[in-house]
Amino acid sequence: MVLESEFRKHQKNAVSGMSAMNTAPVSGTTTRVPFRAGFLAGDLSSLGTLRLAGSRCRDCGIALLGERHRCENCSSKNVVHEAFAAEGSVYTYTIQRHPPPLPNSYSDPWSPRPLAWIDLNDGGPRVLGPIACAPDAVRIGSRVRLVCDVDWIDGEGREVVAYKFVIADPTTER
Amino acid sequence: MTKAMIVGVGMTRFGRHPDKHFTQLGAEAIEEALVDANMDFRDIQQAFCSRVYLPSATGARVMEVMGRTGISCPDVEGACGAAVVGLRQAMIMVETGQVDIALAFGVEKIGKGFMPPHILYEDWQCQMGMTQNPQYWALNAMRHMHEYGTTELQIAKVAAKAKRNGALNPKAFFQNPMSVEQIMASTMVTDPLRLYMLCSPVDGAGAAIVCNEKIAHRYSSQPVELAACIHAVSRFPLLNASSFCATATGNPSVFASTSQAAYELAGIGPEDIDVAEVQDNDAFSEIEYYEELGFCAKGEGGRLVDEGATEIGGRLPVNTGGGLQARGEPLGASHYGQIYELVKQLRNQAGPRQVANARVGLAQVFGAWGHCGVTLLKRGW
Repeated sequence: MVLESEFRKHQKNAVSGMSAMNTAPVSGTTTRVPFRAGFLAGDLSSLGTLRLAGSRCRDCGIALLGERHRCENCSSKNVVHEAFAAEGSVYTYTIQRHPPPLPNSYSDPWSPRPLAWIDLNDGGPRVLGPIACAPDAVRIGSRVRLVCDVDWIDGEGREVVAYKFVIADPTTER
Repeated sequence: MTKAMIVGVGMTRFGRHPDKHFTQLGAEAIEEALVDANMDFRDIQQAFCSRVYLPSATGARVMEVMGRTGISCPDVEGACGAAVVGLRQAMIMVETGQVDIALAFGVEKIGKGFMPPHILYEDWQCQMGMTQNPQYWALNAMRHMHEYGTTELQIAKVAAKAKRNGALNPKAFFQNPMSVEQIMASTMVTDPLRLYMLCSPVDGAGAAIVCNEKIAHRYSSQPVELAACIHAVSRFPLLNASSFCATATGNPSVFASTSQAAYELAGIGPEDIDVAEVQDNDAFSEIEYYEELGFCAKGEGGRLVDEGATEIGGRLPVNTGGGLQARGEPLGASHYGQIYELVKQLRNQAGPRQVANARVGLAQVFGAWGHCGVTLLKRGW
């Protein structure tokens, strides 16, 4: 688990180690940020270490994506922050068949993209996320694994680290 | 507390109005409601304007064309549920005696195409492909099909019903009937939902005049009782548009809880509903709402479709006005389109869409981030 303060430390490390990267620099350096503060745990300069971060309520037991000061379910302040399992299974999915118009984002060239509600293992939250796979490779119950990457550059020229899932096991259950 | 009655309703045709200023759209709906209530605008003591994409002070701008009579007219917003918020405020002010006559109206002018995402979504959701609303309905549909055996054909039947009813509604955006086969042959947008299973965001306005029951007879021989008007923001989880975390909790859905609260307040149950308007953003969601609103048991929505129970002439006709799929969805005015249809039905003024002897109607509306409303109307004469 990495908290906000540790995040900043990691970001500093990331900056010093990234001078060779080919991205738009701001003030001579490139900064990495999570897609939303408090939603990723781990070292942003070491993408393989990253996990989805969030909170668990000690009163109602619910796991929530993103570090919160209160439980979204019961409003309790008795929440702890944790990093969730990187593995999960597909609760339900859809395949988006057509690219949306700007300013919605899509890959170029376009390919149909699966989007799913994923139940993370070990009592983690149910999170929405894209699955990087062929449209016919996903089923309800498919096992998936988290992958974090630099997925876009924000308006301030920073590298934004976001998440997606990949199919972890080709054998799926319906 | 006094009862609140609807004594006048109005709406523009929902659809494309490129040449009309939004204040003109709002005024058109209000003028029809005033004529319907045989009322002068100067009799209105309070107004609420619902809108989502229109600018700040839209309501005040509509006063500019209706006449600045010095009344309060704030904008109220609640995503696609914006209109129920305004109607509820109007009802409460009348019920509590703050005013005798309140105007609740909504207006939207959004133009053709996708809704601009940034008003509802954060940039990361936009970047990650989470901002196309039909995806959320499709995710629910896919799970429902998996759990209960609901079929694409059943979903297509709901879409065909919407188009059939819309063809009978001169206020609907989409007025062409369409066969189940045509719908099943339309392009797949987001599995399992196809193009003609989806609603369109459109321009339009709607209005309802809410009046103290003690003076309602002055304005209408057929006042319609606002028996309940409930609004809530969904408890956790919200498995619908805009949500990114939805861990299961066992909490009732906001559709179930708001409708239950409305039924209790009105002293009725779902078996008492004669005609209903529900938030069919897509044909599948209508099936989901049959179940959530108590029209049938969980998982039985598809069977209700196969039985034709929700057709005009069926046991519980739903979306007789064409629903959002055929009438179109002007976000801030959408619920007033539902209310307009129900008031016409209860007054026996729905023409070819008329449900025989409709006495009690339900309208349900839902918007991003969990805004949900349920309004119950009863014949008040």
